[in-house]
Amino acid sequence: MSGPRIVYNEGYLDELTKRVVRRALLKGVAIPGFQVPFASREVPMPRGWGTGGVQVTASVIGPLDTLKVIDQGADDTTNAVSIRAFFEKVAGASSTTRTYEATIIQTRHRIPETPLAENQIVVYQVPIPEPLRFLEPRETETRRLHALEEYGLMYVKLYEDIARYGHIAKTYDYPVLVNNRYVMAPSPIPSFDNPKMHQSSALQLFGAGREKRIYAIPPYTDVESLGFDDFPFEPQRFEQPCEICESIEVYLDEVFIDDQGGVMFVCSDTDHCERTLTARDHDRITEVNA
Amino acid sequence: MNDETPLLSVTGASHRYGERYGCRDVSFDLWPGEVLAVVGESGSGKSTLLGMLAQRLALDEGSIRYRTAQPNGTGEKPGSAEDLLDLSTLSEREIRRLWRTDWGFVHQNAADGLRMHVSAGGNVGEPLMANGWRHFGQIRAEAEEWLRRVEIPTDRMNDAPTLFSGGMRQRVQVARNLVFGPRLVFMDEPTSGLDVSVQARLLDLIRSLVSELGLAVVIVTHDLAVARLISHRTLVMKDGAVIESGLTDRVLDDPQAAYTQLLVSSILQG
Repeated sequence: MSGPRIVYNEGYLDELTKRVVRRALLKGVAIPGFQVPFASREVPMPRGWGTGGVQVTASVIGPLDTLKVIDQGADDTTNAVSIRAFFEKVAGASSTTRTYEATIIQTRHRIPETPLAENQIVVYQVPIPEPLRFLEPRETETRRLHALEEYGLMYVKLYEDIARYGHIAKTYDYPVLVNNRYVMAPSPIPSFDNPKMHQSSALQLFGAGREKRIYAIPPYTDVESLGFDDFPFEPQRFEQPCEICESIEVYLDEVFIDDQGGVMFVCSDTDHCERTLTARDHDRITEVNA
Repeated sequence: MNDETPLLSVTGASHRYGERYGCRDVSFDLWPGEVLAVVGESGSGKSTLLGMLAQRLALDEGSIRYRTAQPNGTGEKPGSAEDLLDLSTLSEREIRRLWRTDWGFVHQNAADGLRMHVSAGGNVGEPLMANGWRHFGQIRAEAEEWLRRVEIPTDRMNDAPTLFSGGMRQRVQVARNLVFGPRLVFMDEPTSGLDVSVQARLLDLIRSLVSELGLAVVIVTHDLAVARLISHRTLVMKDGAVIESGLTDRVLDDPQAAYTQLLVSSILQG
């Protein structure tokens, strides 16, 4: 095999495109929660597989960075593994599954359980950046509503949930008010993770490739999940601990374990689960030795 | 400000569709609590006039002044002195505030004025939420009260208007437009497209609500019976111009303009 070796620019995107994205990112950081349009490029994966996230990551990553990619909390899914390998190849970055080692964490549908730190960037893959989309299909109108801060419509959605189910039934992509100004879709993370966005130490960047929008939450910004006075936002709760590592107060996945419908509930954050398990086993070994 | 000042004052208002006038040189004053009917045949510019008044269509000539408080730049009501303000001087934010707090608009087709896949309660509650209500219990109670007033059974409150009959949809629309306590309501043929008995009930309802709440109403209709039943004054339009205006009973009983005479005499006498 001696085909011509293709040399990609650092981070795959060309420098001008990276500037386009960085400019959008800067604007996004300057106006927290505001959706900045940007010229989304093609990347070697289908739209809807995280192309927005990949472009954002490509624009902020460098050879000194350590990248972690999670897909619904897991480091070992196909998409996560191939995005990690992609940036190792095109950006010369190293990669990790450890949350605390990573400088950039690209994520789909989760925020890691390990608290984030100041030097970290979280990049969210966003399918639908417009929180008002399913209530008001006209993009011209939703932009106007954002501009004039008319968010009554968002509450109609919550009203409908309470009227129908007796509580706010939306459990993912739960709308938030950023910095007391813009209502923002936090991407389809579970509402369990919403409180982690509030006053987070990390920089949070959101990329929607198909919809060509970028937005951001700078570190230490107020992020308030919407709710009514008498039906305030309540994140999901899990009664039982993880059945592998016995962690409590973590987001759990329901996993089928046999053909008889048997299930177990385990951490969705594989890194957190592994580390808790290792630490516990270590403690037990030390106890036995003592 | 006292009742000597009209709520809405229109002078020489025109709207052009390209080279052609949809509505030309219309002037009138509307006082608080007054119901004004605009009648005329199809294509006479009635709906154009209404769209212009509600700031949905551009005003190409003339002026429309509305009695409201001077905006203070933040979009909040300073609450004190009201003045006749030229609507063209207000920002989009101000106009939208008027839509939210002062003006209702009842469309001919309920589907234009309602969110058809949001429950009736949600539809009626939406203007309240738009005005900053954030207490579910209060919103629901208020919506329920208004649905009751427009005779929608409480057990249908969680049904979407798609499941409602035409008459019910129209009543939900009326409730949605009155729930936030507007001072002025625009109605574009609210009863056409309904069968006669439903029309009569809806008109009766509108009439009682209007007098109860002291609303000013501009109602566009091609049906003289509707004008007779609910309006105090009537404008007769033809080819985009007002050809006759006056107290409704005077206009209908003693029409002066030839066209009005024709219009009145074309009604089948029972």
